[in-house]
Amino acid sequence: MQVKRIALYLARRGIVLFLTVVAAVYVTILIANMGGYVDEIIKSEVLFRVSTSVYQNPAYRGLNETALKKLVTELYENEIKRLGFDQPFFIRSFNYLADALTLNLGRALFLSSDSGSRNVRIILMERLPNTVLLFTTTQLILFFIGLFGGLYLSRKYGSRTDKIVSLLAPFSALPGWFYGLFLIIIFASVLRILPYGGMVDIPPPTDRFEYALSVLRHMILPIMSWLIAYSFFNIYTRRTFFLILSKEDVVEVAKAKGLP
Amino acid sequence: MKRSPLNRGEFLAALASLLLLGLVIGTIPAQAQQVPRGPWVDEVSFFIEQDQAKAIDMLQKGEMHVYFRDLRDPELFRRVRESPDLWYIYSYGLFYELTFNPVGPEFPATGKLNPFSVPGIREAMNYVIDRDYIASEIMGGLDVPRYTALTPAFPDYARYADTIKQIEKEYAYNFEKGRQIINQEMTKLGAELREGKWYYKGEPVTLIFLIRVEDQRRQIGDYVASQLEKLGFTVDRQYKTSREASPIWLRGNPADGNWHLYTGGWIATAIDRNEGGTNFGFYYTPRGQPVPLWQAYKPDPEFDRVAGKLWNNDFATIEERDELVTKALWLSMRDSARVWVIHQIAPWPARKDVVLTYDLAGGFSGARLWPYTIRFSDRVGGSVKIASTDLLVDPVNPVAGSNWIYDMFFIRATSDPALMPDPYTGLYWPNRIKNAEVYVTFGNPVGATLDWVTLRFVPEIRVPEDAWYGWDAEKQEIITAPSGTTAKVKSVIYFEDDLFKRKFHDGSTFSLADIVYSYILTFDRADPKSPLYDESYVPVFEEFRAVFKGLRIISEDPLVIEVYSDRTYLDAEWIANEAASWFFTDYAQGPGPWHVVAVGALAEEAGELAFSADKADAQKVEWMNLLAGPSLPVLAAQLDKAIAQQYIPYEKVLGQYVTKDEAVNRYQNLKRWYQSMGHFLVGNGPFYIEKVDPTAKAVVIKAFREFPDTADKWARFTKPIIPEAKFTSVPSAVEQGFPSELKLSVTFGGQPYRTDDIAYVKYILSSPAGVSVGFAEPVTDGEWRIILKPENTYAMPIGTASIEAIVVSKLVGVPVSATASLNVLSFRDSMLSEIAKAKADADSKIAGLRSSIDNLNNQLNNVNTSLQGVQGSITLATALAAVAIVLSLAGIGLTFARGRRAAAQQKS
Repeated sequence: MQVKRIALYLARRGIVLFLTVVAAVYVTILIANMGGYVDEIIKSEVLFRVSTSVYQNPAYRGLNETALKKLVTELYENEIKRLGFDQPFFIRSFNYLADALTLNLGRALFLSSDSGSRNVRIILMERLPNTVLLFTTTQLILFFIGLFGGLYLSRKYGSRTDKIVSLLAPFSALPGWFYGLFLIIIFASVLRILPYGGMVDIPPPTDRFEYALSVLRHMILPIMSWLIAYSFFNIYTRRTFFLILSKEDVVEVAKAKGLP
Repeated sequence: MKRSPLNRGEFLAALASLLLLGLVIGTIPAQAQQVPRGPWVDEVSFFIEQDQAKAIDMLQKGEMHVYFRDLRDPELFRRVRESPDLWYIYSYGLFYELTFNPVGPEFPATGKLNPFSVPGIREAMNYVIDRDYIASEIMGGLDVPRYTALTPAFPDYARYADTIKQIEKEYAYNFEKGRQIINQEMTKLGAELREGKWYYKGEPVTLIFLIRVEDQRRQIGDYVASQLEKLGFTVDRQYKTSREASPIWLRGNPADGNWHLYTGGWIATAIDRNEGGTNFGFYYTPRGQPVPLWQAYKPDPEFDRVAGKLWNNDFATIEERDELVTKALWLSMRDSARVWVIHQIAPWPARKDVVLTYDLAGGFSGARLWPYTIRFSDRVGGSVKIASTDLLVDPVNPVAGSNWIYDMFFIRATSDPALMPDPYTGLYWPNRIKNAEVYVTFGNPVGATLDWVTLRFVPEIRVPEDAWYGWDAEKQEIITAPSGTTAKVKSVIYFEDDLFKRKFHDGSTFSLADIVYSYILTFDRADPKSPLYDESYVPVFEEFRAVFKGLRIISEDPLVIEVYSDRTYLDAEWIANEAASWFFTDYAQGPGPWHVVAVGALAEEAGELAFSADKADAQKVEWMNLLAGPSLPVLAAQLDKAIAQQYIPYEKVLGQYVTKDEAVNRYQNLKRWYQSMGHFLVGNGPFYIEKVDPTAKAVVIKAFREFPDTADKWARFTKPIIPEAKFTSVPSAVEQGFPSELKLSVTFGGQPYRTDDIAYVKYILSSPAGVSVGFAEPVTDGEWRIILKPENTYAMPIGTASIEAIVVSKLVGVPVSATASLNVLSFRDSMLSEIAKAKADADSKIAGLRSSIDNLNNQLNNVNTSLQGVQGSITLATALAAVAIVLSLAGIGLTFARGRRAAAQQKS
């Protein structure tokens, strides 16, 4: 009996949750597509692109008006069909919903992966390693800087270093790319010791080890800009966190017990 | 160790020999490398740099050599201009205008007034906007004012430059004139001007102005809005991006009244040699676009007729076309469905140590010739770094792959076309052909400019029944031309003698099979019975089918073909290019040796990949990419299958041109290529792709040293030979009714411009009485003269007149001009001046005569004096002579006397 009630409860909760998710996803689809208005935007862009490309093509200059119109219309309809816009948005919105619920990422309409694929999974997976490499590295460094810096300052509360870090904490009010601009000017343009940007030297080194070194070298400035932007704030928040924590009863008791 | 004198001598001799050898060794390769095969440089690397400010800095620091992107920011351009390390070129591809909503006078949906439904008000807008201000102040000098549908720098602009110059004068900024016209027209519409504001049916006349925000059109829009406000309109400025604006102005119904005017922008990516043919129909009539706005255009019937005739090539001669275009230019200004504002001159920067060709429309990246001419100015070889704002945008395959310029600029470097487009005129030059003959039926206006093409007009062209006409995908047979097929054009193309000795990058030799395969594929992809059928290709194919009438292979090696077509162009060079290129290995999206395309076709037939994006999406498979991604293992597997099966595509036909061994040999070459390079893009251009790094967005191309031509083949296109024109002799005054002569120098780099390279030099004589046009005459290379005949000068009113000479070169599409002011004297003044001149001349002559007479008198006096002197001398001489005679007589007398005395003495 008890089990049945639990099962019923879970089923009821599950259905409610599922319906909530479905509704939320569908609303998201509606909002993202502006209730189907995005269709109009894309259709107008496609029409403009197709017709302009036809009219600008000297090979079609000899065609009469009817043949030109027919060509533009056919090419436009082909493209609309390719994009799947030949179906009304209302029907497509449910297709989108089904794909979203089954985690079918599908194919991108316009975007290609770096290797040329329109498979959304490939597009995401292609960008993932680089994103992980740069941001995980940055976040790891930030974490340790914050942790040890915060610990250090919590013990040196009120010291000159503490005051300086507190003063520099508002640096994070500006995004990392802002500092990046200055870093590029200093290290790439003036000192010329680090690259301007990109992921690897141009032309890319053929040796794998040199390639890896080149990638690391190209990571220095982006990481530096992030560290400048967020280190002080990170240290400051953790230092505050540790200070609050140090006032906890448990800590007081531990201190009273003779912990250093 | 003690060194003996002999040893020292040997050492020195050896040293000298070594030095000499070193010199010789050092000299020989340098000389041998002077003009290498293939490109000048060894390597070009492409990467992305979207931040233009950073790109300029990288150029200055040598981290980049060329930027394949035009600059839009005047401040950045200033940095480029002031940098001693950089140079720049201009392209003329982008132009802005004001698009008007033509529906009205009241919008049916809202009942609000639309002043721009009245052509007169639209025309008056030409006076209201100061294009010079926009070009110099808003665009920072990076633009030229544009008044008409014809693009400055393109051939038709040069052809009709005199008319356009007149239009530019007629429609120059004149705010008050514009205001007057608009006031009259608004009053006619029933609007009232109260306290400087227009009202219609009691409400202010509000103009909804869609202003684009992505570029300088925002500032242009603000300026135009201010001018409209000065005229008394209330302007609702709606700032929108392309995505926000296009559903309103492009797809929306203009009758809904959601907008009145819009800041339009257009781009031309290649030199268009027939703008006059299409631009009027496209921009002013419903022919332009199948959308509500265009369908709402109601041009004047005469303008519509003229635009229609131009659109449909409904004219028999170039002269007739000239007349139509001239008429259309004026009528388009009266219509002004859009008012042209400026034409952007986009600068493209590069380092001074690198030289390369650029295209007048497409800049560096759009120039087909850039891979053939890029070089370091001070050395042969080297590695060039080029950045763009994007790269590797879409999958690359020659049949229906990426056509983004960001991909095409490096793909083109790997391919070698049959003919090469001239980056400065848009005409074509032979690359893999020797020459061509073009036969056109009477009544088709075609001309030939360059001497490699021979143009002949004939009454009729019949397509021989053995000419290839199509392809039967079911029977795998070539269809020949039906009996009685005719064509408007026949082109006979003579390819280079050693065409089939050319190598592809993978070592395979170019053969007729490549061309035959391309021919079959053209038809096969449009046939529903073929596994390669692609629905999205059908509309384009149908247009091709409608004009293609036949192909005949006259000679296989050297290759000579006849191509029959119903498509004509104004230039025979274009006709020949189309005929030579239709089935050449330089496909629309890259190089296509048959064995590479066949492997791709196998993958498409197997349902694993598709050449086109449409088919890939329809079948939910990958769009074929020869360079990277999931396509590569699929292609590799199909290649192995082709080797195992000794596969010859369309074997029934292609088997006549290629053996199984040759096919396998090609596949093996491709396999080795893939194993060493890691991709399947095989071409025959001056570069091959050495490395593609999709993640780092980098591409490295290397010199193909087995390329048949040396690097200097296209050297003459490194710089456009834009003439420089200057008046060298202008009379201080032009007299009514009397002839006058002006002299003009036409040079390039200080050297005289060859007369044969000049298409024409036209002059426009403008005075308050009107404009007259004529042609200058060549005197010698670089020197032209303009003779103003008495009937011309007689018609000129007194005062100041101006003359503008427009020089149009055959070598470059940009017309240049020189102007001079003339001081015109009246006929009476001229006569008086002439009389005064004659009097002065007579006086001078009389004075001269007097002086001569005086001189003569003086001389006579002198003679007199001399004579008098002589007289005195004679008198003296006479006296002396008399004395001498007397003395002589006396002497004789004395002698006789002595003689008598002596005789007397002897007697005595």
